[in-house]
Amino acid sequence: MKKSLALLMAAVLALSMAGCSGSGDTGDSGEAKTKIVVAVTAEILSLDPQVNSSTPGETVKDTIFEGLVKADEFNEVHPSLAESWSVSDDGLEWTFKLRQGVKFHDGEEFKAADVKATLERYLTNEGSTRAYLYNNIKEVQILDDYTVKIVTNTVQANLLNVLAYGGGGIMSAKSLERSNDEIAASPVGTGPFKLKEVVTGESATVEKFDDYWGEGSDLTEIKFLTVTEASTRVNMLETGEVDYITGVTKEDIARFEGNEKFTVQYADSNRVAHLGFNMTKTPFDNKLVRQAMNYAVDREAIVEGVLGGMGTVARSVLAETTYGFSDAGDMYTYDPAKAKELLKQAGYPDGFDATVVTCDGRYFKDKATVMAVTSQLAEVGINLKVDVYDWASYLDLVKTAWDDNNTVEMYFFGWESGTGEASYLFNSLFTKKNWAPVGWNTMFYENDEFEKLNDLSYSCTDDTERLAEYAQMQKIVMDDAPWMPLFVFQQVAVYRSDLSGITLLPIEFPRFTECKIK
Amino acid sequence: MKFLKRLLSNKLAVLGIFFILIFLLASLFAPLIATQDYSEMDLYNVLALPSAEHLMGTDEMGRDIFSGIIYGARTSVLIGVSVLLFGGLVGTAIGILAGFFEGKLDMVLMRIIDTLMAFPSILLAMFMIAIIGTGLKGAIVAVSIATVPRFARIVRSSVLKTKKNEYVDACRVLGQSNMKILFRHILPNGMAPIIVQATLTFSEAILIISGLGFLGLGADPMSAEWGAMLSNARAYLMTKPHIAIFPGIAIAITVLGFNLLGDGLRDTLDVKEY
Repeated sequence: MKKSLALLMAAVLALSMAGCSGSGDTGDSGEAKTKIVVAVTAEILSLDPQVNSSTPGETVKDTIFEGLVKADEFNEVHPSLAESWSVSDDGLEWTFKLRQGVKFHDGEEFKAADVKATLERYLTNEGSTRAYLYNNIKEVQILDDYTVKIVTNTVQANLLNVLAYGGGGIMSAKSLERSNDEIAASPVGTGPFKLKEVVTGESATVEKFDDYWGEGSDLTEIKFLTVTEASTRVNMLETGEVDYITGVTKEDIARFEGNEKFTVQYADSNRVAHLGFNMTKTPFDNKLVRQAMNYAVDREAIVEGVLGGMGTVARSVLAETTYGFSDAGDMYTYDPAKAKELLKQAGYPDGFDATVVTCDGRYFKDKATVMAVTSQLAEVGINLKVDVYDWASYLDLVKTAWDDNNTVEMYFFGWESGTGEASYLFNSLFTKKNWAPVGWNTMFYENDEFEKLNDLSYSCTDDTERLAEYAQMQKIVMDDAPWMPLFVFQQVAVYRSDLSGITLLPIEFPRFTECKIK
Repeated sequence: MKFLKRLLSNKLAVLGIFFILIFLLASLFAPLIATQDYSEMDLYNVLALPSAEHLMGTDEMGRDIFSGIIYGARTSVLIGVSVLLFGGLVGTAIGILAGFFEGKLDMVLMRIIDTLMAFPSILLAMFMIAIIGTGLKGAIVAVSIATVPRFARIVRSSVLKTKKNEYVDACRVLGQSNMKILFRHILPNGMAPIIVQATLTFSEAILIISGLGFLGLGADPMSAEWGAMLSNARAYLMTKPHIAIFPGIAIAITVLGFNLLGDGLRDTLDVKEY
C-alpha cells in the first residue's frame, strides 16, 4: 500500500516537472518578441542626463535622450538634433542649425529655447554633477527658433565631443521648469524611446515613442533589469527571462558560442581598470610608495587568470583607443625587486597595512581583481584588507571630499573616456578644480605643470600640438602615479540571435536606438 | 563513565564525534595538513580540476581549495568558540538572573529576550552587521548577539526547575549565600540542557556565519572562510562545480557532526525539549 502510494507520488512529480520544462519555450512569438529585457550589472541611478549615474543609467538615458550631435562606436561625431554647425574664427562661438519637426515625449516641439534651457541649466543647477564638463559654456543665444549660438569662455577643443556625450542630452524647456527630483523621475527627451516605468533599485522600462523623427528601432519596449550576479545573468539568458547580457565570463561564453539561438558580440572598450590612491592619506602621499605599488603588480597574470584573457594590460591611464594616448612607454612593468627597493627608499622597508575598498559586480571581475592585487602586494610586504560595498554606497564613499571624513585609502574603479578623447579624463579626473565631490579627482591629485598643460590642451585646436600636450600630461601622471592602472576591459555581450543593430560603444554601453529584429 | 558509555552506544552520536574530531584535528594542525598557504594565488592555474598537486583543485583565483578548507576549519573553530563565549556567557548570565531572582527583573529581561527572539537569527545578525559593519569580527559579534536569547531562555527554565529541588531549600535553611547556592548547586545540576544548547549553537554559528559570508557580509573575501569560498564559487556553479562542492561538503559535515552530537547528548542526558 505504502509502496504504491510512493509510486503514484513519483509519477505526479515527474508529470508536473515535465509540464514546467515545456512551458518555458512557448509564448515567445509575435508581440512578445518586440519587447526585450536587458540585464544591466548595477543599480540604475538618476535618469537626469546632467547627473552622473554610471553606465547602467547611461544605457537607459541613451534610449531616451539625444544631443545636438552624437558619437558612433569609433567616436566620430555625427549630426543628431543639429543638422549642421560652424565655428567662428576665434573658436569661441559655435552656431548650430537645428533639425525641424522633432517632437519631445511630452508633445512639445523641439526648438532653440530647449537647447538654451538645457545647456544653461548646468550653470545654475547645483545638482548637476556633470557641470565640470559643460561649465565652460558661457551662454546659449537663440538666433531664431531653429538656430542657436553656443558661446564659450575659452576655446574648448572637445566641445563637440562633450555635446555628443550623454550629458549633452537635450530636455524640453517646459520639463525643466520642474524640480530636480521630478526631472530625474520622469525625464523628457526626444529619443526613440520614452520612459514608461522605474522601479527604484530594480529596473527601468522604456517604450517606443511613436512620434520619433528618425527611423528608430523595431523594439516596442526595453526593460533594463539590474542583475548584479554574473552567473544569474547567464542563467536568465538561457531560460529566456532576459534577452541581452554583458559581463560574461570566459567559461560561460563557451556555452553560448556556436549556439545559433545566441549572438556573442565582442568590442573594444576604453575603460581602464585601476586602483586609485587617496593621496591625502599616508603613506599614499608618498610618490615612491605609489610607484612601488605600481611595480609590485603582475598585470599579465591578472588579465590571464582573473579576466580569462578578456582584456589587455593597461599601458597608461588612457586606453590605447582613446584619442591622445601616447605610445611613449610610460607604463610600469612587473618588477617586485624594484618595488621593494622603492619602498625601502620611502621608509617602508617592511611594507605597511592598509585597506582597499571595492564594489562587487559593477565591473567585470572587480572584486576578484582587487583580491589578486592584494595577494600580489602581500609579496612586497603591503598587507591590504579588502572591504566590499554595494554600488550606490560605494560611489558615495569614494566621492567624499577629502576633509569630510573620507576614510578611503585605496579604491577600485574603471574609468572610461566618455568622449573618447584624453581631455575628458585628464580634465575631470586629474585636475585640482575637479577634486571630489565637484568632479571625479578622488585621488586628490595635484600637479601644477599638469594643470598648465591641461589648460593649454583644453583650448588647443591644432591636433599635433594637442597630442604633444596630451603625451606630456600622460608622462607626468604616470610618473606621479595617483593610479595603479591595471587593464583595459574587453566588452562582450551575449543576446538573442534575432536582434541586430545593437552597437557596443567604447564607453562600454550598448546602444539600442537602432536595434532591429530579423 | 556511565554517561560516556551510554553516549558511545549511540551510533549517530559516535558518527557526530567522528566528524567533529576530523574538524578539530584539521583546524589544530592546519599548517601541517594544508599543502600550501591559502592566500597564495596561481593566476596561471585557475579553476583547475582536482589533481595530485591540488587535491580539490583550485578556485577562480588559483588558490588551493584543499588548503582553503583546512584553514577554513580554523576560522570556523574561531567563530564557534567566540560565539559560544560571547553569546553563551551573556545568555547564561541573563538566564541565571531572570530565573534565580524572578519578579520584575525576570519580566523585564525576558520581554527583551522575547523581542529579540521574534527575529530569525540570520535577520538579527544582518541587522547587527548593518550597525557594526562587515568583516569577520562584526559577523561574530552579530551572531553572538543573535544566540543570546535562546541561551537565556534555556538557562532560565533550567534554573527555575532546579531551584525547586529540596536540596536547594536545604541549602537555604543552612544559610548559604545566593552565590553559593547558584554556582555550587543550581548551575551544575542544570548544566545538561546548556551543554546540549552549546553544541547546537556551535553548528548554528558556523552555518549563520557561512550564510553571512555567502551574502558578502561575513569574512574578508581574502580569508579562508567556507561561506565566502562558496560565495565566490557561485559564479562557476554551472561550469566548474567542484569549487563549490568541497566547501559545501565541509560545512555540511561539520554542522551535521555537531548536530548529531547534540542530539546524542540530549538523549543521553535525558534533556527535555524547551
